[in-house]
Amino acid sequence: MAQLLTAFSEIMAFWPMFYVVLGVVLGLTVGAIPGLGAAMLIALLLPLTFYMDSVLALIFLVSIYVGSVSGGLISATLMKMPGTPSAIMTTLDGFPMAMQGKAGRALSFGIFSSFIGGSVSWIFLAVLAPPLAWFALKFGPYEYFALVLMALFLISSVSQGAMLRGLIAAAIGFAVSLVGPDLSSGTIRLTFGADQLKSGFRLLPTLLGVFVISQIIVDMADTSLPVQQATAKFKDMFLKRADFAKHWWNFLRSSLIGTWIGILPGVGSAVAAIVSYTIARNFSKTPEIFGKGAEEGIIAAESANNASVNGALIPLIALGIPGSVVDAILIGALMIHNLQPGPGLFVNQPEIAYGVIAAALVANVVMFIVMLGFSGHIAKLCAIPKSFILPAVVFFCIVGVYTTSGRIFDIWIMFGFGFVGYLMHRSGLSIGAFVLGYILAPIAEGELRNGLMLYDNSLWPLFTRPISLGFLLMALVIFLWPTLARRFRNPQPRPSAHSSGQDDDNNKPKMR
Amino acid sequence: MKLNTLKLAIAAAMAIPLATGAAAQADYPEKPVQIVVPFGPGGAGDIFARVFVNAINENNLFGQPMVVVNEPGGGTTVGSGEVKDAAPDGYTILQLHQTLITSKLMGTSDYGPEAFDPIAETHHVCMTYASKEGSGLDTLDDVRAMSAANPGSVKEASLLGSLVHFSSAMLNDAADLGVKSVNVGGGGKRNASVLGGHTQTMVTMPFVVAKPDSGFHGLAFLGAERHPALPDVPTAIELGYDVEACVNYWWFAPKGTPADRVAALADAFAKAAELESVVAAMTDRGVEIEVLTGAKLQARIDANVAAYTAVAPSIAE
Repeated sequence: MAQLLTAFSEIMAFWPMFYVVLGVVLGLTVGAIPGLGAAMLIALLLPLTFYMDSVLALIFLVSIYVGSVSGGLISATLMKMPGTPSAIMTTLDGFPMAMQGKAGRALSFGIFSSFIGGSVSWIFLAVLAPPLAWFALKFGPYEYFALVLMALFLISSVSQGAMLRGLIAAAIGFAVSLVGPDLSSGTIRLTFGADQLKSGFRLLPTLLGVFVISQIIVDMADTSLPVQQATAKFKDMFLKRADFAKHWWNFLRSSLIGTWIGILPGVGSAVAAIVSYTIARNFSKTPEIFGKGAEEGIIAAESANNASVNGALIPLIALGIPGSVVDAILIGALMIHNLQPGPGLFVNQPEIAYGVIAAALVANVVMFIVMLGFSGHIAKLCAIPKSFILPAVVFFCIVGVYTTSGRIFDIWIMFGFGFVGYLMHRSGLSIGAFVLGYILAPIAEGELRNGLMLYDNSLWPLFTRPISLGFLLMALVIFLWPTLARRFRNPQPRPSAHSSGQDDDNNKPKMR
Repeated sequence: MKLNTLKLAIAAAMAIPLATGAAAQADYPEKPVQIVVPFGPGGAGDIFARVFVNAINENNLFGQPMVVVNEPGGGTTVGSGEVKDAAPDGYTILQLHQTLITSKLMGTSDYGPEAFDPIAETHHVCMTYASKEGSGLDTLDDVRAMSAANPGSVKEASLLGSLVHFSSAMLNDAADLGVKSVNVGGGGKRNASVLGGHTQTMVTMPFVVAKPDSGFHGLAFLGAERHPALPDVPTAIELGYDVEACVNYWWFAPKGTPADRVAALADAFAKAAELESVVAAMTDRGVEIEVLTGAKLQARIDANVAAYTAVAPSIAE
């Protein structure tokens, strides 16, 4: 504890604070720009940090990381384009809210959620890092599989009611993810002889295509979209006490989910947001407004994705095992400075371990202040004519895709998926469900096959291992909850304002 | 068809130095040299390469700056392919290890080391075969006994088709351990899998085992002699198994690079390897310095190609 306080006092000096603010602002910027992201920025800046003091370098990199995950909500809310993959779920409710003229309030929910998510998860990072990291090791392939299966079960949640269409969209996403190397055996599949598909449809071009490029096509095709009045006076940016009273459990639950999923190596903040969002929807009293501008949806997505950042630092610091792609680069940064992350770090170089932990909280606070302070200006982005913004967005997407893979072909993949996304939009297939299938299916497939290899082709351990069984039961409960809750509420003779509106499908058109 | 393209490429590669003529050779190097590292920044291979390149630049060992360019992707084939197809003028260099051999064996590329002119090997790090501390698997004999008592009960955390998979297959074949390789994923996930008790053994770098409180126990070191950071871990050779599995870091020029330019580059790398700062930086990271050039280097590469090709059938199972 004393060492943590020392670390805080050391961070409150000019140069450390300079790098925290610079890192957060840079992170927010790349996070907000679709196409650019933390992994890319950190990779580009890493060689520069070779010559920096090791503590400063890590503070800088952690601040970028925190900033970028938060920045994604800006473009997700205002333009329906997730600035980073972790903001995918934020588009679903952030943008509809902005379209209803509540852009300021939507941003405000995003910013407060990000801050709360970052703070709650930081407590776990500071207090419980070693035991949590050791517990996370109990997760073998079937535990991961059961966890992801739980999220896959809930695909209908993000498909705005129409179960069948959601499943179709998810199946398309699944199919797209299958192309390329089969990670469990190393063989290349479904390329139809095209060498350029050997590495598959990669995350960045695919996501930018279906979310950003398709949205640009929609915007171009429909110039009649009203320029919404962004009401973002500074006073409005603060949530009221009633908001916290109403949503406190959602803030807390989503932060906890995000922290835990962050701890699991290789799962990531996008999945954290997906799981948290689907759980929030299934336990919501008003699931039908999810996807149409639900405050709860923004809270769930943004609390969880920021919480996952600190969550992912837990195994990194405690065990030297990276929780995410960015963390893998951070391990590189430690190695450059000849530091070995792991249990020894707290003993041998406590100033590094506690410096990173302190930086994570300070960066979170700086992020909150910067975002709140500038959100009034940020919200005015809505008022800028699309003809100025869209070309810039396309430019950054092209730059981002090309710098990440160095292949022109990936740019064509991005535009191809832009067209696919537009067709899905026109035919009412949920892009959210598509992306869920695309992101979750490969994890599910990989872990299932790794598990089959590990357990000699037996599926039985899926049900005998307590953690995986727990997830399966939880999946069942979450899946059935909306139906059960309706059953419980229905027989009572005095219908509340909520339940009368949602009891049968005939009332649905009213919601539109 | 493919062969023709290859022949054409080689012919074209051969033609360029002839055309540019000998006059240019006296001027080499007259512009910065690109060092293509086919990994993202921050990985072990990247850091090792940068230690050398920075030392060469800081001590002015080459006359022109060397610049590290990270070209990750395609399991190193993006970067290696770029250097293979680059002009053989000594200004584009590849830094890579045995993955150049395994990617050809696994079919992710259609070329191996033979598609390049080797410049030098400067450093290497040999693999360690490890279990979880306190798991009861303290020696290779324990592993074999457990497999024999209950076939298939010892699982090894691996990334199928990768360098670690090849290395463990070599040991497994020679020592008849009966260990089953299961796919787990990248280095971090493999460490987690063994520490979590899901799998029992793995192949890893020595410093992963050597760092304090690592939680791992070294069963055998796959180098010629014991590793200084792991003095208590016997080599496989001491135990009677003729297995050496190391990551040897090679610098390659495109095929057809003039011999004097290759020699100039080799000279710079060899001088850097003698610098105290370089030796210290590498030893700290558990990496051993050993410089090979010319015929000795070619012999080592050929021996590695033979060893990896020999074990490829067990990988394919």
